[in-house]
Amino acid sequence: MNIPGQKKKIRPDGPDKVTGNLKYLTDLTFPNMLYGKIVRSALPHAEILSISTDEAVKLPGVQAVVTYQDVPGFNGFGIIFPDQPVLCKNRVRYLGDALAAVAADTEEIAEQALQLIKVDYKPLPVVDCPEDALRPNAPRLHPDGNILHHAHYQKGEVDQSFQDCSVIVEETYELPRQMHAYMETEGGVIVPEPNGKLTVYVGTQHGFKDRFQLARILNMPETDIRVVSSPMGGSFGGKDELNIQPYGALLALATNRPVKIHQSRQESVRAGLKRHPMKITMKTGVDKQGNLRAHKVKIIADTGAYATLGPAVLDFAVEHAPGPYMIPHIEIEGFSVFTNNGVAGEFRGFGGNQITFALEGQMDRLAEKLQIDPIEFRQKNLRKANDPGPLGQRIAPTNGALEVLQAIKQSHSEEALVWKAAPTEKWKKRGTGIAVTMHGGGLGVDRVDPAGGRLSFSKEGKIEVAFGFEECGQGLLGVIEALVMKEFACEASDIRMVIGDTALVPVSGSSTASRATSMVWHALERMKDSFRTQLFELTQLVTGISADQLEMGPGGIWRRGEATTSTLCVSFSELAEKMPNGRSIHVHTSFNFPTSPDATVGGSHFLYAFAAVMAHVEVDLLTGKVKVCALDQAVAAGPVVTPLGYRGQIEGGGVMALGYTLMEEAKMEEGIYLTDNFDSYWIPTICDVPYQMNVEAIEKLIEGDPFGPRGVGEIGTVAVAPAIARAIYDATGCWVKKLPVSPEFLLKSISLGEMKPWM
Amino acid sequence: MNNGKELAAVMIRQGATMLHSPTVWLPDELVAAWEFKQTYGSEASFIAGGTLLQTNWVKNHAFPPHLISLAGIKALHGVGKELVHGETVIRIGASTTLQACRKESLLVQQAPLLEEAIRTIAAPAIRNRATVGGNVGGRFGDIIPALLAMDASLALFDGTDTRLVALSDWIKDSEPDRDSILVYVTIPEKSSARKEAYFYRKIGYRDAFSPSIVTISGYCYVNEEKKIEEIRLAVSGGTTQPQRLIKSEQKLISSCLTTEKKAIAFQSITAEFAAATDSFTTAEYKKTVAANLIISELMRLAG
Ligand SMILES: Cc1cc2nc3c(=O)[nH]c(=O)nc-3n(C[C@H](O)[C@H](O)[C@H](O)COP(=O)(O)OP(=O)(O)OC[C@H]3O[C@@H](n4cnc5c(N)ncnc54)[C@H](O)[C@@H]3O)c2cc1C
Repeated sequence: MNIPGQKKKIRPDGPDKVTGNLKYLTDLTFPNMLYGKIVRSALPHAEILSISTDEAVKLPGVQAVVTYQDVPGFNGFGIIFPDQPVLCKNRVRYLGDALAAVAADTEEIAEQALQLIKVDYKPLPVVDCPEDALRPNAPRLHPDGNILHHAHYQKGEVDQSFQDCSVIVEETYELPRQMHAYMETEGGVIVPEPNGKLTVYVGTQHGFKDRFQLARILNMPETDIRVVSSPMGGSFGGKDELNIQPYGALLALATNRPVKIHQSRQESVRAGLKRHPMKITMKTGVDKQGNLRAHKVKIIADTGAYATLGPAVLDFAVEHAPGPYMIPHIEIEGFSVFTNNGVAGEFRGFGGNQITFALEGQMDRLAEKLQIDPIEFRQKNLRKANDPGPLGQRIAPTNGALEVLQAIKQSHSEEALVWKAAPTEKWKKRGTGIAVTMHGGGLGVDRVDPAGGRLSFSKEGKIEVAFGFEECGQGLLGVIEALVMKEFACEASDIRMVIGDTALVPVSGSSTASRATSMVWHALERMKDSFRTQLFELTQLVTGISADQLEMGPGGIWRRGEATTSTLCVSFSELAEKMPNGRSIHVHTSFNFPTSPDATVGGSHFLYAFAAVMAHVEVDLLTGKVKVCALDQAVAAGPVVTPLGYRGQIEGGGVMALGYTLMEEAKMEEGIYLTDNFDSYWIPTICDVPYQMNVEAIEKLIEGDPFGPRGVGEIGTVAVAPAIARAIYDATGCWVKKLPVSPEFLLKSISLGEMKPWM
Repeated sequence: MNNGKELAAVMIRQGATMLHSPTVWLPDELVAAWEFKQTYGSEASFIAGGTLLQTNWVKNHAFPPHLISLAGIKALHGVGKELVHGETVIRIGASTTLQACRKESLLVQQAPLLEEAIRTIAAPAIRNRATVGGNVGGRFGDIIPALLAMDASLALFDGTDTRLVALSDWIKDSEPDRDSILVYVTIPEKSSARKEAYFYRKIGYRDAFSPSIVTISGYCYVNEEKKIEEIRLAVSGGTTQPQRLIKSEQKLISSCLTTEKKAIAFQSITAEFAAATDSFTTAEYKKTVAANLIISELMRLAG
């Protein structure tokens, strides 16, 4: 990876994670703790005639059984619309719907109790695809019908301008339901406190949002609930919404004992969020010279039974439908549709992955029809530094699109040609492909998107830095540590980081939307001067050395220009000891994620990251199997904060997207998962991953850009699938329009000619 | 019961819906194991490494109230050479773990195809527990096609005698005999002479740690005139029982692999392989892939 001048640094939570020392929240136990289990619906769509818990209550060792009757507050949750019942009363809409929850002395007893809860259902017709849900006579899944969200954007005269196009490509792309597949399934412990308060030790991506939702369900003041939300064994968006927290809380309150719930993998598959399956139809036209003229897009997303962030995911897909290309005439329409399938919601990439597969597929098909090199074709139509964003809004000027494309071209085009031409095993065909994307960070305009942080000088002499973000494995702690060390020239041991605990941290917004790194940087920018000044003033008071003579350095305060060459003026610990009584140093900041000043479409973005991907594939002509041999990415997202963290996000995102492209699909039939565990839902292993992946970071920003590092949490997943699809076309002459790529489809379509003489 | 020791039931974690834990019997003699099985019949199951049975419990399949562990029976252990009807065979005890097979120098030298097959099975932690007996006893195991290619036989104990049955005959039984105990597997020693004439390919959903969609294995000896003098072809995969492709072998034996023969072979293999469509792949795909892979291997050997 080309990040000059930065040495590799071990992340602070690394050693404890790889040695297994780290206690996750699902590892916690408390005295007197009970185990909770949740009864989920037996049918994907039904009326509930009755729920009987009598037998379960009688089972020795069962301490509480709760149903909808036991929800003291509002019986619903959902980040945007709280339309998902905590405990269903008269209707179930998917297999993950909860009907009752049990707390018992052991997990086994809780499990037995589940079997004793009798639910009478009247089955209702199952709506298992969005097209059916949109039919006028379809069963209504919600009071307002089956459309969760309709989004529309129009610019110019699309239909008319197709008439002026010399080449038009129209295609429908189908994207699968992907599972987050985090290692740690949903769970944790909910502990009632002596004063009637509640502590919730459950991983989530937004502790304060969970607190808000739980307070509404439990009819408790928010301040009586403490949410400890970090660390987590992975989330990728999947733990952004509430999962088991309400059940644990209800049971803890009912028994006045700590309750642990930890979902099995099957329970997690059944109830958990997934990436939206989408069908995307695109019609795109170019003029004779290869300039994009018109682009018409229709998106149908299967959002499953409830809303969660479904509307926002659709808006994101709509916004990114034109991607980094300048197209004068555009019409985009999207529908997010309720079905009786599993709930789809937030997932790394957030609608960008689906739309980019379609958009880049269009670019490749157009280039092919025009007989223009795919890189050249893209370059011709790419946005320039000061061009507006995809929906015409003003965005922070950036040349990222062109830079990533050129980087991929320069470092990989020739190598790709050589690799392709090299002799292969018999029955194997090689191909290469590229794709580009841009990806917005933050929640977007018109959305509540607060950020903030706190810097304090602690009694123990630590630089205490607090954020309301969570460590879900993405490397947040490494980011905070690196930024604080860089700013204050201190050592890791001088810092104390406080995150993921609503009792201790300021409001920082969610750990989602590639925003945390960016917001940590912004917050430090706002707090650093005041913090430094206050420290120097304190040092002056304690040592008598004038504040303007001082600078911060390893272990404490140094005389300016002498850090590490002479001796410390005062160490941090001494400074803390000598801090006069009553004096303290705390700096707070709160602000909002930067948004576009003139955006008209809710959720559209201001800060973007860019990526270009080069994929090499080998297709086996005997089996139709695809092997990805190289997956290189160039990313423009501003300065790199931690090289290993950056690389980890891009490579890890790349592998996750490789799975999305080649093997991952949470298959459902009539509302029931066929892939209910990791023995039928496949994620890549190390053997499926290219031996080496190159990540090129383009750190340069437009001169005067004040916005610092953009997040890279999602961008590494976005443009991988279309690059692989193009490489498959290069190898076999076969256009893939449905993911995951079906070896069966390839085998049928590959024209083998003399390769298979026995046929 | 005489030879068994009853274990505390908590030793093995039950399937999620089970209300009662099973009893685990630990006989140290074949006869005792067999008697346990006679006593409890369909209420009991033999268990070796437990890795296949465990996958069933996770899926909430019925969990037998009695488990008869074969781990303590000496007759099931060990790898060595033996003379059977005047012919030297390699004997692999049913309790040999898959990992041990890979380490055993006799097998590495004489039956490298076995190691090739085992390499594709599960993951190291599972191969450390999984046994040859369990792989064969489960009837869908990935070593079965390799053993068929090597013309292996099974030594089965039926209460009084240990009899040898050709594996290719044993797999034809649609009603598996759940009472006999597999004591060991034998492979003719002569099979080691022509190592390069063997092949094995497993196609899964990903490159490692995947169940098989299609597995093919075979042996094809070609004489100086490029005629196929000996041939064995085997297929299996996923939910499809392992099979010897006897009819296809007959179509190929004593002939050269001409273009016409290849076409015949393709037809014959796809017709003979009794693959089934499941939720993830069609029978047609499995048949095509099996035929493609087998013919490509035959071309390498006889082309
Ligand atoms: C995650 C995972 C992945 C796997 N992947 C693969 C794979 O890729 N390929 C593959 O082939 N298998 C795979 N398996 C299945 C299994 O691990 C192997 O087939 C293994 O060899 C079974 O051996 P075992 O000793 O654990 O059998 P057990 O589970 O103990 O027994 C399996 C069956 O054989 C019977 N049995 C065992 N020993 C004897 C005997 N001596 N006589 C008579 N009957 C007997 C048992 O009664 C039972 O019906 C996988 C399993 C897991 C958990």
